[in-house]
Amino acid sequence: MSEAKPLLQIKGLKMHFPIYKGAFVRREVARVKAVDGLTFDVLEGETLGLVGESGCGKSTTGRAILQLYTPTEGEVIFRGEDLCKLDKATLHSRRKDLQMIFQDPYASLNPRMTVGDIIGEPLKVHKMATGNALLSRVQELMEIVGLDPRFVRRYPHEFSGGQRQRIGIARALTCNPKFIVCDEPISALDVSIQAQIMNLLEDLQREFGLTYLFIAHDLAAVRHISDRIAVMYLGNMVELATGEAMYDRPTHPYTRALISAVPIPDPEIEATRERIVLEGDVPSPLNPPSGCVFHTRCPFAWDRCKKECPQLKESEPGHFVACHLLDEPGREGALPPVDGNTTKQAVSASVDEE
Amino acid sequence: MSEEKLLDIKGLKTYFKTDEGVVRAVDGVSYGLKKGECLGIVGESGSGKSITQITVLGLIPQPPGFIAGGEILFKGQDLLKLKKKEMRKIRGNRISMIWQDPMTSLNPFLRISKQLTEPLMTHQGMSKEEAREEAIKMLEKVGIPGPRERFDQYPHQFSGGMRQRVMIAMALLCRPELLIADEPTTALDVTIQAQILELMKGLREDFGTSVILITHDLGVVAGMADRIIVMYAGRVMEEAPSQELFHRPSHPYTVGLLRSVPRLDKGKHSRLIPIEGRPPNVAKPIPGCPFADRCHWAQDKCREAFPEPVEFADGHRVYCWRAKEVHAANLGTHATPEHMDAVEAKIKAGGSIDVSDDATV
Repeated sequence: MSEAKPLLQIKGLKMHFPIYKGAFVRREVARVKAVDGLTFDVLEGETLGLVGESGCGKSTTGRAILQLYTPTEGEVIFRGEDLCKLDKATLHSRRKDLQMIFQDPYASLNPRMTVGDIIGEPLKVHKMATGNALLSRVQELMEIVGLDPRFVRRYPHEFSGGQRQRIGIARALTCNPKFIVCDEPISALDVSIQAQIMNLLEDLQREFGLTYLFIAHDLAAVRHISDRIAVMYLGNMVELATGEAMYDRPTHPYTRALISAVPIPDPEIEATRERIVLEGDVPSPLNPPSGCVFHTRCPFAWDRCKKECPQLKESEPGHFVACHLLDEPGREGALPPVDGNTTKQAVSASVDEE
Repeated sequence: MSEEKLLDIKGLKTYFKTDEGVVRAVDGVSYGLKKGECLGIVGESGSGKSITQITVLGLIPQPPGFIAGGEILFKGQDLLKLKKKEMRKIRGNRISMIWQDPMTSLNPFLRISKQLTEPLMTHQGMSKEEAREEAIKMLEKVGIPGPRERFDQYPHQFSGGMRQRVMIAMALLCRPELLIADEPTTALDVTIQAQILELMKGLREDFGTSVILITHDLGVVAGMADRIIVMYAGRVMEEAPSQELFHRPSHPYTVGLLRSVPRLDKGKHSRLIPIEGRPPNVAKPIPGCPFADRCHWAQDKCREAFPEPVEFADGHRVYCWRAKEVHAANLGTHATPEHMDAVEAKIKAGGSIDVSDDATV
C-alpha cells in the first residue's frame, strides 16, 4: 500500500453554495458549507470509501472532484494537472478518465434512450467509435457487466433495479476510465442484489485496474469493499485509515459512535455490544459550529474544541485523525466502551500507544 | 409456549387485482405473536412483509385488494370479520403503527399538538386539556427536548429523527397492546437509528408492549427481536428464535441472505456470496416453492408443491422440503466459509446431507 502512487491529490477542497436574497439587488446572505476544506490522496488501484451521514458532503465531494460542480476553492490534481484550472475543452477530454456511477438506477438513465444508446453515448461524445465498432463495443461492455447483449435495443424500464445499475456501470466503463466515483451505487437495491453489484465492482477493478471512490452511508458495505476509509462529518474529514485500523482502532469520537451504531447481523454479538448513542442531530451546514464541527455532540469536548478547528494528524502511520484529543489523550478519562467483539481491548491498546 | 397468543395469523391471503393478473402479495401466511414479545419480520421488497401487517390493520384498499382467505385472531377475535366501525376502535388504540417515512406520515398542515391529541380524545374520551397534558408527557418520554415549547409546532420544524420520535409518541399514546413498526429506522442515519432503536427498547420495557418489527436489515432484528420470521414472495420461509435463526438457519434462502450481507466485523477478504437471479413475478401463480428457481437445493418436488412446515426445537419452523438436511448441514454464522463452500459444492453436484449425522462445524 505504501508504495502506491497517488492517482488524485485533493488539496484544500471547498465547495460552498451561496444563498441569495433580494429581487433587484441580489446579495449573498449565507453560504451552505457543504465541503469545507478537504485534503487527501486517492491512491492508484485502491478503493477509497467515503462514509458519513446524509448532509455531510460526501456526494458533493465526489461531484466536486469530477468537476460536476466548480469548487469554491482548492485543487484536484490528476496526472500533474489541476482539474479546477483547466479550460472547458481540455477538461472535456479528461473526462474520459474520470467517470461516475450514480445512486438511483431509475433516475440516472434516460427513459427515452435504448440501452445501446446509453452505453454507447460516451463513445460518440468523445468520437472514439462509430457504426459497427460502436455496437460491438457496447455489446462487449454488456457482456462484461453481466447483461445479455441481445437486449441492446431495449429501454431502461424493461430492466430490474439491479440490471439498471449494471447499465450505469457499463456506461461508466465505456471510455476505459482510470477513476470512477461510485455514489451510493447499492443503496437503492435489495440486499441479495447488493452483493451481486459489489462483487461485480470488485471483479471489474481487478480486471481493468480501476480506482474507486466509493461513497456510501452503509458502513458495513464500505468496510467490505474499501482498502481505506475516510469518515466525513459536516463538510470535514474527521478520520482516514485502512478499513482494519478504522474498525479495530477508531480514534475520533464520531467514528467510534458511528461504528458502534451499525448493527451486526448476529444476535450473540449484538447482545454484548455497547452502543455509544450520540445526543442530538447534525447541526445545519448553513451555520456550522465554531472550532471542531463535532463539538456540539462530542462527549469529550472542552473549551479548545469550541475555538480551534483540529487538523488531520497522523495517530499511527497511515491513520489520520482530526481531533484535539490526540494532543491531550489524558482528557478521555473513562472511555466509553466501543463496540465490536475486539474493540474494547483495541481501544485501550490505542490509548496505550498514545 | 403455552402462553396465550396476542396475535395469530392463519393462512392469510391478500391478493390484488391488476392488469397483469392477480398479484399474490401475501399467499398463505401463518404466524403468531406472544404477549410481550418482539417479533422481527425480514424480507426483501415485495416479499409481502408489510402487506401482511397492513391487512392486520384493515388498511388494504378494496378494490383492487381483496382477502382471499385466512384469519387474523387478535386475542381470539377475528379482525377480518369486524365491521369498519369496530375496527376503527382497535386501530390506533389497541393496535398502532409506526410507518417507515416520518416525512410523509405526519400531516404537514396540522400542528403536532392536533395530531397527538386527536387519538386520545377519540379513543380515550379525554378532554382537550387532559389530552394535551398526556401528549406532552409522552413527548418527554420519547426524548423530545422542550416538549411544551415544541408542542404547537408543525412537522417541518422537526428533524427526521425527531419526527420519528413524534410518530412513536403518537403510536404509544393510547398504550396499545400491539405496536407494528414498519421499517422505523430505514429513512434515518445510523447514529439516529441507534437513538431510535435504544428508545424503542426502553419503551418496550416500560410499557410491556408487544412489537412487530418489519425490516430488511438483518442487523436491526438481530439486536431487537426475540423471534424472527423470514418472508419471500408472499410466503413465510422460516420462523425461529433469533439466536437459532442466525446460528442454525435451516432454509436455503435464509442461508443465502446471511451470506450475502456485508458485515462490519468481517474484513475486506470475506467475499460476499450473492443469491443469483431475482425474485419471481408474483402476478403468476407459483405452484411450488417461490425460491426454487434461485435455490441450489431445489429438486423436482420443490417446483411442484409448497412444503408443509418442518418443526425443530423451540418453535423453529421451516417451509422447505429439504429443511432437515439444511439444518444438519449447520450453515449458520458460526460456520467457516470453507465448510459452507464444501456443502454448497456437494449440493450443486446433486448430493445430499446425512440427516442422522448432525454435522459439527
